[in-house]
Amino acid sequence: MSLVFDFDCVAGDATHPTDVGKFTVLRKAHPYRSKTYDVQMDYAISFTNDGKAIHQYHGVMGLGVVRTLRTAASDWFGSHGCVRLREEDAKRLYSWADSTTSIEVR
Amino acid sequence: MGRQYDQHRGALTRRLRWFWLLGAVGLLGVTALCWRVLSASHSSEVLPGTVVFEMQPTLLVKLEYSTPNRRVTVTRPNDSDDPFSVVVTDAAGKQVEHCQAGNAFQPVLAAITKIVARQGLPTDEPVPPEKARLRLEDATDIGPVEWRVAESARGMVLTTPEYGYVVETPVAIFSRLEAGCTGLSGS
Repeated sequence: MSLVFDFDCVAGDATHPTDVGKFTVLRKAHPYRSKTYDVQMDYAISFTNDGKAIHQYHGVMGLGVVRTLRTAASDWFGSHGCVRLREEDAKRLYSWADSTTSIEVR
Repeated sequence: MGRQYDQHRGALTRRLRWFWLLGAVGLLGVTALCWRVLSASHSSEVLPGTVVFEMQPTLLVKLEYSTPNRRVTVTRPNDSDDPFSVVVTDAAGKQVEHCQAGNAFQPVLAAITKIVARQGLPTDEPVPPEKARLRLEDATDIGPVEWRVAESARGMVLTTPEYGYVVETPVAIFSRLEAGCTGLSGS
């Protein structure tokens, strides 16, 4: 196994942790808007039964700022269980992964 | 004099504290508002060749293709290797066909579980008249997906309330779905 991409991400907060374990790609969708949270989640790769996904982060602040704030200020800056990526990273991963791709969250 | 100065300084500090607090609250409010506005008005790029939707074919449990005249429903009990059964009802909901899906369904299954865009549909472009609705349900709790199906000179068009795209999926796939048992039960 060789490293293909290495991306920064923001995962779930303490109240809504990202599921840990081995998964498969259940769905891919782009463009995509979550009905549950009424938020944009482009380049979504869903990997859990309840729809947790790796997707583009659409917030106003940059992902780097959110990561820093999460580390320095509050866990509140975490997600509700999804794995957020920068747009360009989400796009690259979405193009590369297909329904046979395995996902492991550690 | 010194006491008066201390009181003045204390009052100023309290005012500044309130100033910073209100400023922080205001900043958070503006950030939240911007986020809502940007999120609501977000325009997603769909380049030619983008996989706009893909799901595990093995997880599909129900497919509905509805036209004004009939509804074709393809189901299987769970996400196993069970064969799909096909039920066709007319506009009044009366069952007019029932059969087991055959090998003819396999290319249809492959085509509707991986949809590739030929191009995104510009938001200011009128959508062609709706021909049918395609609804897919899988064995997950993520929820069903549904598209309005239309046909244009550039190819088949799928739209949701938020998006629209011309897709690579051949018209023959939709024709086979609409044909019900005739199109799906063959070997």
